[in-house]
Amino acid sequence: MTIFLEHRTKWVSYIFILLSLILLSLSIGKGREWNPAERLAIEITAPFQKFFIGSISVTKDIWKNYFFLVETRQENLLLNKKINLLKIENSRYQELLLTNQRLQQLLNFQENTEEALLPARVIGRDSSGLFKSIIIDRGKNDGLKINMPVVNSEGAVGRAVSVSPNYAQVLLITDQNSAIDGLVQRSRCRGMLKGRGLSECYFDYVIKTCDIVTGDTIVTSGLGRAFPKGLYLGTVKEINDSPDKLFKDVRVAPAVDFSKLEEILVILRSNFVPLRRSEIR
Amino acid sequence: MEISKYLKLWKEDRIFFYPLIWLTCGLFVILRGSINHLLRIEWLDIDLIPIFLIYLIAKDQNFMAGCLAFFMGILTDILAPCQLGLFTFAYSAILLGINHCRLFLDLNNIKTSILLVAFFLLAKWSFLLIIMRFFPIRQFISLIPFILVFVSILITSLITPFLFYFLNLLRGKESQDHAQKGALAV
Repeated sequence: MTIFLEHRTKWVSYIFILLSLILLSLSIGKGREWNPAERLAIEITAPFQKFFIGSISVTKDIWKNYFFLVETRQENLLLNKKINLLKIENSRYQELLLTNQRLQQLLNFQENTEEALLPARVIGRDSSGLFKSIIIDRGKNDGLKINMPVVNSEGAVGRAVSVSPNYAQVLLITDQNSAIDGLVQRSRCRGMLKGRGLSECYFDYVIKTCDIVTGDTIVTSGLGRAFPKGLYLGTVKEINDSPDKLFKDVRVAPAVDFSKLEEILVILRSNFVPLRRSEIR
Repeated sequence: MEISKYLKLWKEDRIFFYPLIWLTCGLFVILRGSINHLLRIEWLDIDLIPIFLIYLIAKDQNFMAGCLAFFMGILTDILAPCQLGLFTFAYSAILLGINHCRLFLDLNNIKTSILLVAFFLLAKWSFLLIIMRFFPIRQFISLIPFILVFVSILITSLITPFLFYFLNLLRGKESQDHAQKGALAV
């Protein structure tokens, strides 16, 4: 006992290390879903993030709307919104046209439009600096479930990986741990869009015979249980067809500008079946 | 009367100072991502927690530094989409290592503190990479170029003397005594 009291600090440090190793071991293979204690921590800490983001947003709004070209900014916002809506409309028309051309009229595109969208605000960003994730102000109480897709007017943003009663954590498509099944919109070649942790993604497993050129649009394939078909993922930025590699190296610029991500939409898929714990990476 | 009593206690760092460090660290972890986004420096890994930890060790508050490293690690783990215990283990283990080395170091020297902060950050990156590599964690961290890691370490190290100065100012009396002793020694 005396030895313990004499070297209290050292013992406590060892206990902390042991505890952290136990935590690490216990959480291995369990995915990133929050446990009740973590949910409680998020419920406590998220209001601080919300308040901070709210204050910044109010300050920005005051500055931009009242001190900085009031009318021009409003008009610009309106036009940008219109452009975004037209982009989505254009993407849908192209999808419909290509599908019709290949006599795939039986595809039910209504499924995409019938799904309910839940608007949410980004209230926090990744605290470690090593991952690409956001925290949103909607959670289980709003009908949000793990693995539900998150989008904005530009395209796919990511998917919910942890949910608490009022908040959720969204893994962005640019994170290294994100992988989405995708298609080249023009040639219908398949691949897997993977994050790089930077502001670009890789379109992996693109076979050598695939018809893909710089500027091609990548959309979600609808395979897997998370994302609906036809959502914009990004544009092909660079292709490297090295003869000593099995697949083409395709770099993709995401459709969404993650630096300006403020409001997002969660697709509340009516027939959504969340993945089992073992299936979540 | 009451106010002057509390001010006196503040100066003697019995109250407020350490809770203030905890509050600052907590807020930093919670708001770090948003602040980085606001300042458009998301590609940098500027971490102020090691500065506070080294400061506490320099002031012989080893126990508090251990607790702070553990709880800030847990908070980072919860707020980041990673395995629980990843940052907790990294922070606690590095801190224990520094605690063992402190016998050979003069932590009241600001240059040593700057170097220790730089070492802490470098060790954090190495630890995370090692844990990811050798533990069966099916997870990856963003491999930012080494030059950016170096820039992040450099910036964080350069922040160290300013934060130390500010903390000493807040701490009050004791730090003034240290400064006087230092001046006499020179």
